[in-house]
Amino acid sequence: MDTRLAERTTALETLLQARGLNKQYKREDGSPLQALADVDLTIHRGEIYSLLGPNGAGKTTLISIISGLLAPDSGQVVIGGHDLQDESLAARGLLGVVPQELALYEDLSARQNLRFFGRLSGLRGNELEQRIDDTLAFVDLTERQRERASRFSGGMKRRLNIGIGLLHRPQLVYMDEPTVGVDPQSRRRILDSVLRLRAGRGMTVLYTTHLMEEAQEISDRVGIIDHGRLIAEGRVGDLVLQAGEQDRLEIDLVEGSRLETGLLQELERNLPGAARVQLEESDGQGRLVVNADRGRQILSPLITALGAAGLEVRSVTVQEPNLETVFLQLTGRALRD
Amino acid sequence: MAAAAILIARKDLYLRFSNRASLLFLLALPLGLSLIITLVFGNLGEDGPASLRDIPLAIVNLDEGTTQQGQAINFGAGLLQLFDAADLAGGAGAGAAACPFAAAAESGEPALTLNELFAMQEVQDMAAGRNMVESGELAVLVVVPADFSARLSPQIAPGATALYPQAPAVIEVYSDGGRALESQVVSAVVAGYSERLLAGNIALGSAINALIAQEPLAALRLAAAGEDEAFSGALACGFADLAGGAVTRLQQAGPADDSELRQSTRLLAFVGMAQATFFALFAAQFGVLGVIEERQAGTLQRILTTATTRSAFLAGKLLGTWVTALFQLLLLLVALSLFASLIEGRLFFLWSASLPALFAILLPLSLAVAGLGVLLVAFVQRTEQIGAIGALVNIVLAMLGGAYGFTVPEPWSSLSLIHWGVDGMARLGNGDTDVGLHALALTLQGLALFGIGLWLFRRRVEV
Repeated sequence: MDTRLAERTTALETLLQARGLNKQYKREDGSPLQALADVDLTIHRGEIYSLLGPNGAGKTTLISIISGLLAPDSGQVVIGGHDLQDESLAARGLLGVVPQELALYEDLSARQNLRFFGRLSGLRGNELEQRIDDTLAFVDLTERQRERASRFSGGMKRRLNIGIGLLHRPQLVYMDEPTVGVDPQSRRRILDSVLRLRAGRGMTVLYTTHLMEEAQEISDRVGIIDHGRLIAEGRVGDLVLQAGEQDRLEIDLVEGSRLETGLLQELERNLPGAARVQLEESDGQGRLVVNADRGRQILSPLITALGAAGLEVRSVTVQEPNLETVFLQLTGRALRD
Repeated sequence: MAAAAILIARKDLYLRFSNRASLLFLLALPLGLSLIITLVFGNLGEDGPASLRDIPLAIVNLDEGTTQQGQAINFGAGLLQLFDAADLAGGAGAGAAACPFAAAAESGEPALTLNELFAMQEVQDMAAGRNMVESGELAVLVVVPADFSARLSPQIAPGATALYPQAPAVIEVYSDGGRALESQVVSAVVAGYSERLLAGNIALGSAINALIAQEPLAALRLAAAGEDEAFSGALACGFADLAGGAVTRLQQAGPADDSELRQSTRLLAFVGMAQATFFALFAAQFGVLGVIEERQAGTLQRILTTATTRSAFLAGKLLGTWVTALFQLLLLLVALSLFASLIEGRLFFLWSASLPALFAILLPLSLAVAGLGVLLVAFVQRTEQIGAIGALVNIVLAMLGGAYGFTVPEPWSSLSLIHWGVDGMARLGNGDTDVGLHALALTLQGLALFGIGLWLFRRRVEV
């Protein structure tokens, strides 16, 4: 078989499939709260899938159900061909969990923590010790393996937290905001680790984060959940296209430049793909703002036209639509709201 | 499942015993409690054997006596004589040489005479006597009813073919609630006296019955012998050993083979063994705390996402709590035994040195409290709830177990592990190793509590 085809086939092999998940809670006043409503989710083997959603959107409920911690009111979850309800232990054996909270024993050393959770996952003897060594090396804690976790920095604890979830080499790793509260250096390490999991170990990662740039950087696909429903799903570029957002060009003019209204109308008429051209004030300076489908393509004719009108350009900024703008458009809220 | 449970228990025990603060708590709690019990009940500054002396006692003798075959009998007067037992011990007459009190005095053994034990006086007015008790002047007032002799006397009538003693009349022992020990001593002597009279009359009656059957006149001659001084002396001396017996019975509230123990040591042993059950209930809260802490730290959720079931997790917690409770109980009893040994000046074990019996009760007791801990897990969501819910459960168990001064009827009291624990431990403290039923009941309770707790945990606890 052609190598590329084989890779594509592997990449599209379904590892996790959730169908028709519903979950309802009771509020304190007794009224029902639909936490999940007919959620379908498919994660392919070898991909990094980021699940995004504002607080209270149903993200935690969905993850808890996938992790086997919570039973849905209806629906089905299959991991690696094993039904989570009927073959719970087999399905859970394929899953590694890296919770947002540091779920480890502070009074145990890094090695003891790994050994405990490794044994619970069924690892024994030399295989266990070898896996522990590998994991410690992977999360860069080999030198500190004998120290109690309570003596670790926040970033080291995070890495140990990740290592515990990876020790038994699960096929699917769920990571819940693993970079929360860590310094930029540790954050970079963690993100690199996630990318290495896919590249080096072929692991599938289900990732949740509040940081759009993280999701945009590492994700193959993104799912956006809100009000208990999966409202959008796909590659970041596809989602941007679906959202129909345009590029935004900001041109700052040198002091004293005067823009005639007629020029604005002319630019709007003549620049291909330009939807709107307007003048804004920024710190008392004149700023020309242009919304267009392909901003970079009209940059050259725009500057030429401005030069012909006797206007001198001080700086140019091109803002392309990103996940944040997509999320805002879909949910009406910023992710951190 | 078993491997995961053992792994979780091992981890818990390692964390408990390797953490300084936790270890300190594990050690300090039983040691502290044992010290408190010793200070309260051990009477550490005491010299010499403990004794009760000169218990202020009054007797109202309303006994009108009776007459049998022309003989005047007044057993109430006999009771007065009994409490003035120095007369009995040193009494003249044919029976004196055979008297145990007299024999003890002659051999030089320390013997407590009843007139040393009691500062007895006779009062005529019952109301006045009660007032004296209420004012604290007297510890105990004994009221002998008017028909006391009549009820205890055998009924012999001419031509009778059989002889039956009547039921004994009730002697009222009136005491101040704060002087329970003195009251118990007096009650023991009075009850023993009544029983002995009754038993003597039954024996006498049986003999007379036999004589009546063979020769009616012989019975009359026997009854007439009651007038004889020698017969009276022998009868009185017969009660002398009763006085010793009553005191001995009180002494046997402590370990049976340690009759020379200080009273404080006996009390320490009894209280210590009984308190151990209540102390064990702390272990249940330890178990609950462990589960809640794991839930709050997220390690419970993490464990449950591995190939570990909820049953295995709870079984591991049960096992860890079981071992911890056992350790703490043993530490408490060893510490109490050391304190008791210090008081006694010799090695003394609270559990009568019967290790198999001790473990026969400690193992199921620890299991029961660990099972209770698993049950509490289903109801306690946060650490701050442990105190309230744990205390509520403990109070209910204590009420059922009769720890509040009133007895809950069977079978309700049998539902409380406190009932079985306290009774079983107290039995051991008394030297009674017959605790098989207690062990069985506690084991069943432990398993049932675990089973219900597990069922609830799986049904209603969301992680």
